[in-house]
Amino acid sequence: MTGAARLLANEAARPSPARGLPPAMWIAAPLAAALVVAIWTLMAQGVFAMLLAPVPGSRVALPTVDGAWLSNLVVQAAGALPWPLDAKLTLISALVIGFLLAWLHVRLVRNGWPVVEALCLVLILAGHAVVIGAVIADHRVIPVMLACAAVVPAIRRLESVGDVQAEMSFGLVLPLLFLAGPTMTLLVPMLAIFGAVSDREARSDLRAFVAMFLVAILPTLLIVTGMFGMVGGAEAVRLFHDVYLARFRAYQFAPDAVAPLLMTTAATILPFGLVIAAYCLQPDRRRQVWSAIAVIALPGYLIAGAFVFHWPMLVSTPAAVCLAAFASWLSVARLSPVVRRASILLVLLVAAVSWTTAFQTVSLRTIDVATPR
Amino acid sequence: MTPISSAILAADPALVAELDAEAEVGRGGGPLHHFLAAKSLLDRGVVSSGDLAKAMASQDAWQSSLGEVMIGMGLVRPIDYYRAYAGVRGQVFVNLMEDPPDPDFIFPEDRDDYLRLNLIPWRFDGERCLIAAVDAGEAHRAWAERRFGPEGFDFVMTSPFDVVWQLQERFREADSLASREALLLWKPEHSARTTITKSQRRVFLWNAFLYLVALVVAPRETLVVTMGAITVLYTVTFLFKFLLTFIGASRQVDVDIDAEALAELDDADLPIYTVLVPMYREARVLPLLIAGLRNLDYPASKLEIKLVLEDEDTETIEAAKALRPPGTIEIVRVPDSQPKTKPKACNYALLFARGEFVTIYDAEDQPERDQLKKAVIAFRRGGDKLACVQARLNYFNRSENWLTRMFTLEYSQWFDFLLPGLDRLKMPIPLGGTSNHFRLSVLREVRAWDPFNVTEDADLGVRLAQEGYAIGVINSTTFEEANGVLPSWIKQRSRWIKGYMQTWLVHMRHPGRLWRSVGPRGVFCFHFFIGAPPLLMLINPIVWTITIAFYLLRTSSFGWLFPEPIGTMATFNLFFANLFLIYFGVVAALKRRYLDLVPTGLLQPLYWILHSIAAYKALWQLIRNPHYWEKTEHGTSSHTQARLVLARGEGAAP
Repeated sequence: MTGAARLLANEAARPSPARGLPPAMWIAAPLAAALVVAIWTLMAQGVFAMLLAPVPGSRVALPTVDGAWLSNLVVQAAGALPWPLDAKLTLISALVIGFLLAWLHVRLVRNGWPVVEALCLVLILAGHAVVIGAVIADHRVIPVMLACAAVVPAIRRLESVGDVQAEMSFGLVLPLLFLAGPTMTLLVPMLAIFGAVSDREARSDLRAFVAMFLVAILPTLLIVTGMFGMVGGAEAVRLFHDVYLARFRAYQFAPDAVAPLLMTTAATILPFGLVIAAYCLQPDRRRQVWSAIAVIALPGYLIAGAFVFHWPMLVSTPAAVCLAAFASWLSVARLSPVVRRASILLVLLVAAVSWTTAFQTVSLRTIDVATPR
Repeated sequence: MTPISSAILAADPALVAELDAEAEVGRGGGPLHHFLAAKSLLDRGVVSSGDLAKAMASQDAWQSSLGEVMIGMGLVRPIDYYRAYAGVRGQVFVNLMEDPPDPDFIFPEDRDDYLRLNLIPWRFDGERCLIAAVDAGEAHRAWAERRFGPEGFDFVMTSPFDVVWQLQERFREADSLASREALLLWKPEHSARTTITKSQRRVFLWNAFLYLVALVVAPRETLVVTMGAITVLYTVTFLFKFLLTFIGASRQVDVDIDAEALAELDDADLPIYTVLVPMYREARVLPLLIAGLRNLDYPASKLEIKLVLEDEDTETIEAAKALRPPGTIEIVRVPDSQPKTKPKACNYALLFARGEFVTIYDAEDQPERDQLKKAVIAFRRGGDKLACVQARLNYFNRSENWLTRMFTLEYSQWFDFLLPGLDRLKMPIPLGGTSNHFRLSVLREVRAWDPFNVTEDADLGVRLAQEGYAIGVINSTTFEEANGVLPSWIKQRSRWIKGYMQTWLVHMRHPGRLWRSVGPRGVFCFHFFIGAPPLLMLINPIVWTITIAFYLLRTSSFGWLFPEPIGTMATFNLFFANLFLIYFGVVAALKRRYLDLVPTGLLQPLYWILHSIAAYKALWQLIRNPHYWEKTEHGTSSHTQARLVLARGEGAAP
């Protein structure tokens, strides 16, 4: 085996999964608390002035029915708390991010990562400007990150296990994309087709394909039915027409948004892409390619969509999705110790770049300067 | 071939003499006697040399006596074999059917010994009791010495079936009583003979009265609380089902016993396995049954198969006799008495069982070949506290019509997802109607099935859990005939629902005891797996009516019934829980790759309507005729008819 191959070998002896770890909440609570305190302190000192300033409309009250179901659910739930909306959303976002990072830590350790390395990765991720930005300003990207992070292990399980539980898990994760926001909706049928095709029989038998496609897409259809049923009548029609259809009308992408979008995304995707490419090219019978490719494909979908349709999102959103998907992939992929450490260094690099003025300047712009074709 | 067989066939005089001497030590029959009996049958042309060679090869692998092997393989009738065996041993053979024992010397307190040792006192010859026995080994002699003194007995030979037949005749009334009353006498509170106890009736009437008072005093609040309780019940039941389905969907629950474990199993170490096949007026499916039982991958000499037939069902009895089944299959005639239920018949047959393990199959069942072996492995792995393992049930005629498709989806979900899910969560498992395998000793200890409960299997699952025993699920399937005729389906389903209601009422007589015996997890499972489904089937039409009225009348006049957070929960149930229950039905088809059933799964709400119809019929019957057993008619499927033709063609029929 060559040095490079050894470096990237993913057949490293896998330590047995650590059992009896403290529940995620024991890590989540202090992590979230630390995140809130740190952000609060830094905000008080004006550190995030630049982060906050260029986010137009980020503090505007969210419309009740705009397809961002998860965000709206949180806003509704937050309504019961007495504090100002911004403070409540920041607090909830910090708690959610804290919990997700803690959960990631647990998953990494279960996947054979040493506790210290897992902690390093989690702390670096917590310090990424996009993550901090999600907590203090762009709360609505969190459901998108969450949905994409959930899709990767589901694909991985479909590839590696392929039992009914894997098929169910995959089907049950897809509604998260629908609930995260209208822009993610098109991913659902695309992934459902992928889910169906992943079944060997479905590749050669149309009846089997239809069955497997139904199994994958049915949970989303049920959720869609339920959501539209709850909204009811004319409002449901308006929602479908004004929100969902409108997202997928062809628009002319504003040329001056191309460079920032590509720059911020490239700053995130390229380093991770190196690891993914090496993983995919390394011959190993236990390698699971599609879940690895999803790490790149998910932000790629957003970039492609932003070029074709009118998707008002922050320039940094694809980078945020890439970050979530990559972290999620790390928690399920089998990597050698060398690759693990290389991944940590690359995440550190990406986090450092995220705090550069160039990145900061462009990342929080919105891509809503398009014109109808 | 064994050294013994080889030596005999090689006519090694020295070894033959040695074996003969060994056999005579206990004066029981040794391999030599069995071989000589077989040889005499060969000389008389009763068996062919080829068959004998096959039997000897099997004897080597199974480590049973040559006689048991030949009888098990159907090469010789038991009476012929044991007559020859008696001749070889120089003893008198008596046919107890023609020359029955003197009833004065048969004692009820010795009944279990008669069955265990395969003997029965026949007559008195002066001072000595002549004991009709299948063998006369040390154990037989020790028992006889204890009973009649060292010189007070002698043996004559008979066949095991003569002994069982005589036991059935002599203890008919007592056994019939035991099959009906054993559980009632042991733990009356676990018997469903009384559907609802006085104290339960009192509690129910008081609650009904208080509810009516509440309705009069505060109607609005009372109805809100009622709808709240129903909503919570729906939500929790759905979440529980979701959890079980998700856990049961894992491949890990399907590969408990793999091919490697089966290959490691030595036939010589396998115990006697009793198979009970209760039947009633099902003569036409007998050829299928015989073919199915012959297909089992288990040493024939270690199988004890009992066709459990009602005494009055002469048609099936005669048909069974006419088929001349192998000697391991015997007919047990159940005396006529009330209640005339399957559990009572099984209890009766159990009194004649000798196996270490026992299982039940319906007449049209097609168990997978290796099911008994898998059950043995499961029992050996599970330890003494594992009292029962349930095999999965599914249907062979799923594509016959819409009803059979829905039934197949339902069974797939139940046995492939929900029960394995319960197994994983270590919760009590309500057993399915057939293919449940028991340790005979434990089954007897808990007094077997409740003859008054019409889902005696589900009830037995709960009782075993209460006695501290575990139940497992094995990855082996028995294929049955799905009921595809609507009136028959309603009958069968109403019996099942009635049985679940009975079971819930029985075990709720002492909720505190139930809690102490099965713990909170078991109580939760009991309520939400056995109690809640029939209740929800009854409530469903009411809720559906409210929902339809809500949408059709475009009225919000029912809105006050659902204040928050009940309103949100109710909406969740309506739009999500219901839809996801449909989804579970759809994925149920995946494990067995019944992909043609996936679209059918979308029609489940229609199937739920049928459930509600059956539930109301069940409730009515619970009140009017709680112990009435509505017999399911088998053999109506075109698949079964086709298989019958095939089975007859293959020679299962005479």
